Amino acid sequence: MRRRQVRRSVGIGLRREFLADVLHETPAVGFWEVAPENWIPRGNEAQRELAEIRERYPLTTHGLSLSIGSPDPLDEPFVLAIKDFLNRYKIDLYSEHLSYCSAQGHLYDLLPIPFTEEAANYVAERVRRVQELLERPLILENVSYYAAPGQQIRELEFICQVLDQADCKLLLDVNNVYVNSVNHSYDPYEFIRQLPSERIAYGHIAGHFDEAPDLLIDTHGTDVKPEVWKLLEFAYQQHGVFPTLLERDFNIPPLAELCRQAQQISALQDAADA
Amino acid sequence: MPDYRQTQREFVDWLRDPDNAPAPDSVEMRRLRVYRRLIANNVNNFLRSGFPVLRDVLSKAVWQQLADRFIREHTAVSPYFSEIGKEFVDFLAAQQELPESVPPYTYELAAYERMEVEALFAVIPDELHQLSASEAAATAEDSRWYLNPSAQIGSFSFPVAWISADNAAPDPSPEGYFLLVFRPLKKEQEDQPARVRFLQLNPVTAVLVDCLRQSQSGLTRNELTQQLVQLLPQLDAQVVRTGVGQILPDFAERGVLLAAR
Repeated sequence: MRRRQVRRSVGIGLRREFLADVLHETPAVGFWEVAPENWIPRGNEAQRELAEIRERYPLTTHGLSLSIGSPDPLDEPFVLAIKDFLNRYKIDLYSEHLSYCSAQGHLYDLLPIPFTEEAANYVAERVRRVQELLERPLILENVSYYAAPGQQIRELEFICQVLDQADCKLLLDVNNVYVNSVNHSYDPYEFIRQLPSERIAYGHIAGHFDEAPDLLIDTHGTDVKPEVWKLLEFAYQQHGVFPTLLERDFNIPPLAELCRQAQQISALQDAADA
Repeated sequence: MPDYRQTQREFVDWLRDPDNAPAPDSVEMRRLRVYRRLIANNVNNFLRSGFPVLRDVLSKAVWQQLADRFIREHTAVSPYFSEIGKEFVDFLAAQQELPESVPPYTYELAAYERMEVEALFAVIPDELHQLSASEAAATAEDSRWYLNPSAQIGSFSFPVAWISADNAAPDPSPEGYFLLVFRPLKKEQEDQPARVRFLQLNPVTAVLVDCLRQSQSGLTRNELTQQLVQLLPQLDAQVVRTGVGQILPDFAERGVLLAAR
């Protein structure tokens, strides 16, 4: 059996709301994650602050606008701007959404790529081009989706086909698996069990909003639900521990509280490693 | 066109124009609406925070119509969320005519509010610094002066810098307003976020600013004076020289002009 890597690390999504507190208190956090789109065009102060964070912590990036499944041409100058950003702050990991957010122009929200073989081929080809430009592997996140227009194959098949054909990595968002399993009536444990362990680069966990019993919205605006913690625990048992990050984008609690919640990831990683 | 392309096109067409485009028939309306709501809320949040004055002077209904029309008609090319506001100004600029319900200064006000955002997020190289009035006066002779790289310049027929909910129906002025918006390097108080300022230029200061804007490597006081004397032949050279001597330290202290280290 393949030797399990020790990959214990806990991160938090970095937000401007508490950036000053991070610099002031330097809490014990394994890594912070930023959206490059929110920092590239933001002037001196942002550059200075980010450089200061980078001196003290590892950073990962989680992009918003790559639009890997878009019918519009790949925005190569944008990919190169991302590359400059990664190089400038010495960042190894760049993740994005297995999704699209533009079609004849940007809509600035994550839309569901039709789950078809042809679409998977198309996306995989674009992923390869991005990897070539970035000279780094692209890490794609399984996104939450509220509708699956034009679906011909299962979500899991779609994801695995893209990962295989593009030879890229997976960002396993455990909350998204849970949200999707409710919204589209499947077994989240079975879904996670069938993912390829060797492709999981790292994970995300977050809170969601229950709009209806059969419609959960991935808001990142509440605490992580117990069902999702259980699913993360299962993911560690199944695939070994992987670095995992807590995302919180709305109703953000004080930094100390956020760190306490992130500690729960640490506890699960301890338990899985024991 | 492959099936998935067709699916994407129908899906996005409906999201942009839910009142008129046919709804994709394979998807439950409740779920489609989630996407429409997410897109509309997100765009609206960025527009509200980017155009607080315009938002204030328009009624809620008119604002909503404008935002919906932006989503429906505009092809946004920027991948950066912070440039949604720039896309909105481009959208307004491209409108042949706006509905009668929006004030005639809508485009100008939006363009002006965007200048403030651009000034706020502009990168000012570390080599440039801001002098106090006395430093500026002492070194005015030998310093090389640069226009603050955050400076945004626009000319308007409406008094856009003075529009507010209490002053929502100003008349245009035949002479127009020549406005410079910039971010000083010195803050009034430490720990305060950088604030953007504006300055109304007159015909002479406008030419002065333009000279500095066009020079890559900055200008000394003498070079600037010489250029202005040539560009303003109607003015006496001595008047220009005295004028530059007064304006330079003043603009330097405000942070409109910066000196190189």
